[in-house]
Amino acid sequence: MKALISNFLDRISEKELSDGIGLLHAKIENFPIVDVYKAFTEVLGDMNRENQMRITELRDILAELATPIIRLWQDVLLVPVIGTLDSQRAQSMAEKLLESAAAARAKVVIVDVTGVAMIDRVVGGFLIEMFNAVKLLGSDVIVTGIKPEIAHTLVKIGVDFNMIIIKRDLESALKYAISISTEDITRKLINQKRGNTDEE
Amino acid sequence: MIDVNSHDYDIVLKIKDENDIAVSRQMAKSFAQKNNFSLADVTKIAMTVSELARNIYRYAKEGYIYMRKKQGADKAVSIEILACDRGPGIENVELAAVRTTCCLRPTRSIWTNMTKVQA
Amino acid sequence: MQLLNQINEKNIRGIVIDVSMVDVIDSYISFVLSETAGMAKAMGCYTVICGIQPQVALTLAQMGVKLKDIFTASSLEDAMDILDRLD
Repeated sequence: MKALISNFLDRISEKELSDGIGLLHAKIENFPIVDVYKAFTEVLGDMNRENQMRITELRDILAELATPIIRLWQDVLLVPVIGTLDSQRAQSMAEKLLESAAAARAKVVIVDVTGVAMIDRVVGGFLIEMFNAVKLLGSDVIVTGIKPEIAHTLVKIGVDFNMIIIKRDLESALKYAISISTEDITRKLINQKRGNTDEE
Repeated sequence: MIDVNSHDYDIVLKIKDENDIAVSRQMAKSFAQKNNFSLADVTKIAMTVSELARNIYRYAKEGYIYMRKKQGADKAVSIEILACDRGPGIENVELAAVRTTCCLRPTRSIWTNMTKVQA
Repeated sequence: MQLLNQINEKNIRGIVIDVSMVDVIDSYISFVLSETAGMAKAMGCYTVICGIQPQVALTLAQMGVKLKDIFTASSLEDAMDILDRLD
């Protein structure tokens, strides 16, 4: 019975099937209406569960795809944020970013939000928390690509812009990041030299 | 005092000295780990319990923390944490019990519902 | 108090606290750390924390816990770097 019904549902909508069953019930005596409807509901339930699973799968894939974290340079990570951010995505992005930043011992994390058209106060606050967390790991945070609406929201929620570095575009962000990196390398070399001369 | 049946809960912790704070933190951590919460959420749970325990110790000197696993309608696993203490004013037989319900889904962000109950 | 006396006696210019083994930092701990760092700073001694674990960092940030007067570094070498720079 269930197979029959799901076959029907492949071709017509549930409403049409339901109407058809009603018609049959009216025309045929002793039509097993209860059994039919029971099977009907079960089939619908199965379909629903399958769809739910599919949705969860897709959501997982989306989470994977949607949070690429790119190692641009030694100690420099780039996170291009794409699409609309809801709290779920924001949370998984934050967790992933922090793990990567800690593992890579990143000195600079560039977060590009060019792809984000707008955010609400909740997600805005969330992003700020993420930036603060990255700073706790000892990395500088550079944010690029802030659109007017986002700037509006960020100011409204009272962001302390001293905590993060904002650059107009990826180019200036990169320039800054690389200068920090080379500065470090030069300093390390100087220290090494100093160390060597001390030994002599 | 609110009636709490300790048998309803998976973990019962008594807080009466400073060491108990660290102990409750560890218990919360392993409880969350056992229930397959993500590392980030395990940390959040441990920290929440740590904060609750510290508040109990600091303001009430003594209290209890109860924890249990709950399964929601949508198969979501959550942990309920209940912190009970007698706030200052015990001489007046004024008992304050703070009911804190923290629900954390295994892989999603923390949702906290706080309701204060005064008996 | 003990720490502050040590700083004074030995003319310590920097403190590095490694918390890579710490799995939870609650608001009280961070308050104590910040206070101590503030006092040390008043005596000309800087404090750097290194090795904060990623999930601890996220939880701290999301629970609104602030570390005042404390610098953060990703590793011991970076911490030393920062202290060098500050002098």
